[in-house]
Amino acid sequence: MGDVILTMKGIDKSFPGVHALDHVDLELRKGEVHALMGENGAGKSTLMKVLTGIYHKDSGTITYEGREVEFSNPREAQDAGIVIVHQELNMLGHLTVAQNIFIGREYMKGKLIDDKKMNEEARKLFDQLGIDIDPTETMSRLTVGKQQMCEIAKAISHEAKVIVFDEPSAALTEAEIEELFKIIRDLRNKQMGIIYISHRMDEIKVITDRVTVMRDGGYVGTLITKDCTKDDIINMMVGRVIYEDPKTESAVAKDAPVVLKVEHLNAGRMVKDVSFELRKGEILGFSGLMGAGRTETMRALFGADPKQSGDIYVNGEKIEIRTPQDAVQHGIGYLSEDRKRYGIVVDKSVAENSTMASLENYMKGMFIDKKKENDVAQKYVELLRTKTPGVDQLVVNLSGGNQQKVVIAKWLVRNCDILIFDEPTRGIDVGAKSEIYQLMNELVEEGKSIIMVSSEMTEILRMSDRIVVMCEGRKTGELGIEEATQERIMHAATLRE
Amino acid sequence: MTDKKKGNAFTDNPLVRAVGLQKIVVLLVLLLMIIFFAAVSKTFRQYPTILGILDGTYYLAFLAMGVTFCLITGGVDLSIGTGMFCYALAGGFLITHKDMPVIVGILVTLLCGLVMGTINGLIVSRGGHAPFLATLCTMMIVRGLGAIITGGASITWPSHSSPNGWTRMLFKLPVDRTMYPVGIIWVILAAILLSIFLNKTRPGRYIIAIGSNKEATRLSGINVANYQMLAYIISGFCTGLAALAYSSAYQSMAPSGGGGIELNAIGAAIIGGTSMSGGSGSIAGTIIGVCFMSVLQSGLPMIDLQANYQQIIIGIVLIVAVYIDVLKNRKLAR
Amino acid sequence: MKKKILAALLSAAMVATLLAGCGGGNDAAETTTDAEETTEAEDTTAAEDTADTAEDAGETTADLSGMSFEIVSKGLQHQYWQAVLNGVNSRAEELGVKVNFVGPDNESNIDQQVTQLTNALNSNPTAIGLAALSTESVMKLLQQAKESGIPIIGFDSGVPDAPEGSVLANCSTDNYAAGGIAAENVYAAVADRIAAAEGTVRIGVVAQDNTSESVVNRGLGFIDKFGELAAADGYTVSVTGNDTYINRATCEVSDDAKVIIDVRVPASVTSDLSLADVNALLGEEDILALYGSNEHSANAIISAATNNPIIGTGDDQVIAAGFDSGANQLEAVRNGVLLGSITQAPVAMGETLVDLLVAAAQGETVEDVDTGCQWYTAENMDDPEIAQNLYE
Repeated sequence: MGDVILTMKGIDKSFPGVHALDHVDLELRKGEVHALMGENGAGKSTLMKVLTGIYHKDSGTITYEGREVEFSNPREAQDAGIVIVHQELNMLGHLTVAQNIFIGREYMKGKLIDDKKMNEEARKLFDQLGIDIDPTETMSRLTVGKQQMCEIAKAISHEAKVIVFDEPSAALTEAEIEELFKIIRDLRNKQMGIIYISHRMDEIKVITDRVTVMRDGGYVGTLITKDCTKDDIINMMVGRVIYEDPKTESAVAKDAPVVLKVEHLNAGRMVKDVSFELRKGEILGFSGLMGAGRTETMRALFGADPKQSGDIYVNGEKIEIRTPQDAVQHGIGYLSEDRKRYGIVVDKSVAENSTMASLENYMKGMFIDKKKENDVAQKYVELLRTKTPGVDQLVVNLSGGNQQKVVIAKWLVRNCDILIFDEPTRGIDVGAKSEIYQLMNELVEEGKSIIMVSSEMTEILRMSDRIVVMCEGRKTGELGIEEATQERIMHAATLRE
Repeated sequence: MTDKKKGNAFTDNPLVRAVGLQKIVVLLVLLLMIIFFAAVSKTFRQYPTILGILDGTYYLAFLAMGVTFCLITGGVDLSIGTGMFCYALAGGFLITHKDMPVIVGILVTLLCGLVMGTINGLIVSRGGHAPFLATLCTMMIVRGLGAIITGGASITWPSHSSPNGWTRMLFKLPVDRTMYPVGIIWVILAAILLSIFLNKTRPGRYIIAIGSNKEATRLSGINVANYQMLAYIISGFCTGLAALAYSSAYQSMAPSGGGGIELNAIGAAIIGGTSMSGGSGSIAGTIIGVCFMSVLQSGLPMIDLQANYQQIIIGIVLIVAVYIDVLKNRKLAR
Repeated sequence: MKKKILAALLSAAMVATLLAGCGGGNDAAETTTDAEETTEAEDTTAAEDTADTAEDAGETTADLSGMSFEIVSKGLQHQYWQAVLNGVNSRAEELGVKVNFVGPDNESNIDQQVTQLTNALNSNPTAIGLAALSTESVMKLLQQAKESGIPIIGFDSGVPDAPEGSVLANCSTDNYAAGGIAAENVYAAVADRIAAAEGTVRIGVVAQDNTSESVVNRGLGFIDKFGELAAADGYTVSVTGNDTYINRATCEVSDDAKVIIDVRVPASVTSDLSLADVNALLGEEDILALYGSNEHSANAIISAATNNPIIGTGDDQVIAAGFDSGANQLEAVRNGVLLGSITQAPVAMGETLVDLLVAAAQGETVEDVDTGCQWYTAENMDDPEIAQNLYE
C-alpha cells in the first residue's frame, strides 16, 4: 500500500427524516483494495454518492490528492479521476462496445465522430486489461460478465486514480469473478485506489486489503482484512454470528413421494432435454454458470415462456402447463430472480401483494374483502417475521429481504406446495439472507418442496438436499448433497458438448 | 462461456450485420412487390404512375425521417400529419391571400415546423410529459390552428403555370410538357445528411443513447433533455419540409386534414427497422420503409383491388412490422 | 416497461385505425369536404313551383318588418357558408326582415350547435332555419319548437330523418340531379368519339367514398344519366369497380358492353390514394373521360394532369369534369384542364331559405325546394350569375 490518496472525514448527510450519514470516516491509499461493508441501508451507497458529487454533504471534509475537494456532479469527479462502476449496469445496449466506453467524450475528426479511432483506443484498453472483447460488437450481444468488463474499461479510460466498485460481482459467475479479481489486482499493482462494495464475505477475504464497516449510517471501524475473520466483520455489521457451514446430509427420507417430475423439457435455445424429479420436503438446488439455462428452465416449467416439448407430472399425474395460471392452479409458485420486474408490485401495499395470486378467495361479491385480505397478510407478516410497520405499508418502502418475504407470502397465501426460488438472496444483505434460509428450511419441514436456483456456490452447498447442475441448456450433473463439493459442481457446470 | 450470444451463420455474416437483416428482407420484399405489380398491371409500369408514386413518397419520406429521430429516443411524434397540413396552410395562406412573396411562404412553412417541433420538444424533455400524450395534444392544437389561420377555407398553393409556380418545380420540373421528378434529389440529399447526422455526430449518437438507456446516458454526463428536445425539433423541421413537398404534389389542402398520415410515416419507419421502444433505427431503413408504403398504397388500386381489401392488406403489413419489432425487443431483453 | 406500454398502445391505435375503416383523421377530412358540399340525400324531390313560392313571399311585403329569423348553420368559416350568408342577407334586406345567422366553430362541434339552437328558440323568433349536424341531438328542441309554434325550415343538408311535421320544408341541392347535369355535358363532349370507337370506351368516376350520401348521389346521378344517354344512342352500358355504386346504379346494364363506367373509391381519403385511382383509370387503354364527384376527387384529377398531359379538352385528350369550386378547380377549368365543373348555388340557397322562412311564418304551405346547380366552363364562369357561386 502506498500513500493516502483519499480521505473522507466526519461526513454528515441528512435527508428529511433520515440521518443517512453520521460522521463517517474513510481512508483510501494508493494500491489498496478497500472493502466498504454494511447491511443494506447502512449508508455505503450514500457515502459513494457524496464522494462522486451526486449528493452534497452537510458537513465533513473530502481530501483528494492532498487538496480539499467538493464535486458538484459526477462529471467533475470523473474528470478529477474518481469513477464509479455501478451496480446496475449502465450500458447502452444498442451501441457498440467502443461507443459505450467513450460515450460523452467521443473522439472527433472535425465535426464527425471518429469511430475508427475509438475502436482502436478501446482495443488498447482491453489489451491493457488482458481481456478479449471486440470493440465493434453490439453491447447487448455480450454476456453480463463481459458487459461488466466494459464498464471497468470505461472507468479506466477516464485515467482514473480511484475506482469504486459497487457490488460488481452480483451478476457474475464464479469464473467471471475470477477474471474480475485478476483485473482488480492488476489495477492495484498500478497504484490505483479501489473501493470495493460487496455483500459476499468470501470475496472480501480474497481480494481486499482493508475493510471499513458501516452500520445504520454510522462508521463502525476499519480492519486489516488478513488479520480478521469473517465472523469479526459480520459481528461488526450486525452484531451477531450467523454464518453457517454447508449441509452434510439430506434431510429428505429416501422414500419421500415425488411431487414434481419433469421429463425431456425443451424450450427455446436455452433449455435442451431437461429431466428431473422433486421430492416432498426437499430443497433441490439448481447450480450452473450464468446463462446455463436454469432460469429459462424454470420459466418454461412455470409456463412463463413457451416450451416446445416435455412432460410435467405433479403428484404422479400428468398435467399441461401453458401459462403461469396453469402452473399456479397446480400449486406451483415462482419467485423470480428479478423481484422488481416480476415478483412484486412495488407501489402496492404488503396486503395487496400478499393476495395478488389468490384474489378470488378474498372477494365479497364484486369487491375485495379488505378485512380478510389484511388478516391473511398480517398472519404471514408474523409467520415470516416480515419487518414492516403494517400490512398497508407500500412494498417499495421495505428492504430487499423483506420484499422477498412478501413474495413468499404471496405464494403461501395461494397455498402452493411447490415453490421455485430463483436467486432468492440476490441483493439481500447478510442478516436477511440468513432469515430467508431459515424460512426455506421451515417451509420444507412443513412439507413444502422447493427448487432453488442459485449462482452462489456456498448457498447451494448450504441449502440443497440434492443438486442439479446445468450447462448450456442441458442437465450435466445431479449430485446428492453428501457427495457434492465445489469442485464437482464446477466440473459439471463446465461440461460443454 | 462464449463471447457472444449465439446467432446463426446468416445473421452473423458481417455484411448482414452491417446493413441489418430487416432492411435486407424489406428491400427484397419491396423489389418482389414492384415486380409483381409491374407484371400484373400495365398501368403500374407507366411513367405518370411512377410520378404519382413519387408524389406520395416525398412528403412521407420527410415525415418518416423526422419521426425516426423521435422513435429512436424512445418517443413518438403524432403531430406530424396534421402539422404538415397546418404549416402548408399557413405558408400557402400568406402567398395566396396576403400576396406575400413565395419565399416568405416557404420560410414561414419551415418556421412553423421548427417552432412546433421546439414546443413538442420542450413539453416532452422539460415538462416530462409522455411523448405519446404530449404530441397527441399538439396534434389537436395544430389541427385547430390550421383552420383558424385560413378562416376555415382550403388553401391552394400556386400552380405550375402561375408566376409563383416555381415552388412546385422544386419537386417536379416540367420540360416540354414532361415532368421530371427532381424531388428525388432533395429526398436523397436530406437522407444522406440526416444519416450522417444520426450516425456520425455527437448529437446523433446521444439521441440513440437516450433511446437505449436514458439513465445511463444521463450518468455519462450528457444533457439528456437537450438532445431529446433536438429530436423533436428535427421532426418538426422535417414536417415543414414535408409540407412543402405535399403542397408541391397535391397543391391544395383542407384545414384540419392530415390526420392518419402520421401513422403511415411511423409505420414506414417501423417497417424499415426502427424500434418503437427506442435505441435503434436508421434513415436508410426508413427510406426503404417509405418506398414500401407508397408502392403498396399506389400499387393495390392498380391491380383492381377494391378499397376495403386495400385497407386490410395495409393493416396486415403494419401488424407484421410491429410484431417483428416486438419480437426483436423480446430477444434483446433476454 | 413504459416503452412497451407505449408500443402496445401505438400498435393498438394503428390497428384500430386501420380496422375502423378510414381512421380518425379521415373523418376530419370528410367533414371538411362536406362543408363544401350541400349534402342531402333523402330530399331529392325538387319542388315544382319554386318560383311561385318566392313570388308569393315577395308580393306580400305588406307587414314583414316585425319578423325576425334565426338561422343555425353547420359552420360559419367556410367560404360556402359565407356565400349562403350573402344570399340570406341580400334577400333579408330586400324584404326588410331581421335575420341572425350563426354556426358552430367547426362541423364536429355538435354541442355548440345545440346551444345555439337553444338560444335561437329562447329568443322566440318568427321562424328558424336549420342545417343540423346531428338530428339525434336536436330532437328535443324540434319538439319544443313545434309546441311553441315556431316553424323550422331545413337548408343545405337540412335535418335528415326528422320526425314527421317538425321540419316544414328543406331547401337544398339535388345532388343526384347535379351529377346528371355533369353527365349530360360530358356525354355531349364525347358522343362523337364513342361513335367513332371500334372497341369499348371507358368513363372513369373518381369518388371520394361510398358512405357519404351526397357523394354517392352525385356519382349515381352521373352514372344513371350517362347510361341513359348512351342507351338512347343505342349503346350497351356496364358499371364496374366499387360495389356500392354497381349495386345502386339504376341504369340498364349488360355484359360485354360498349360503354364501361368504371367507379374508383380510395381505401382512405388521402390525396395520394385518389391520385393512384386516377392513374389506374388513365392506364386503361379505352379511357375517354373522367368525372370527379367532389372537390377532393376533382383535385386528384388535376394532380394527375400535371404528371400526365393526357388530360385536357383537346381532341385526343381524356375529357375531365369536376364538382364544386376552389382555387385549384377554377384555374383548371379556366386553363382547359377540366372541361367544366358543377357548382351548387349557395347564394340562391340563402335567398330561397329566407323566402321559405317568410312563407312558413305567414302560415303558407311550403314544400321542398331544389336550389339548383350550374355547369360552369371556361366560357361562362365569369358571368355574374355563376361567378357569385364560385369561391376559391
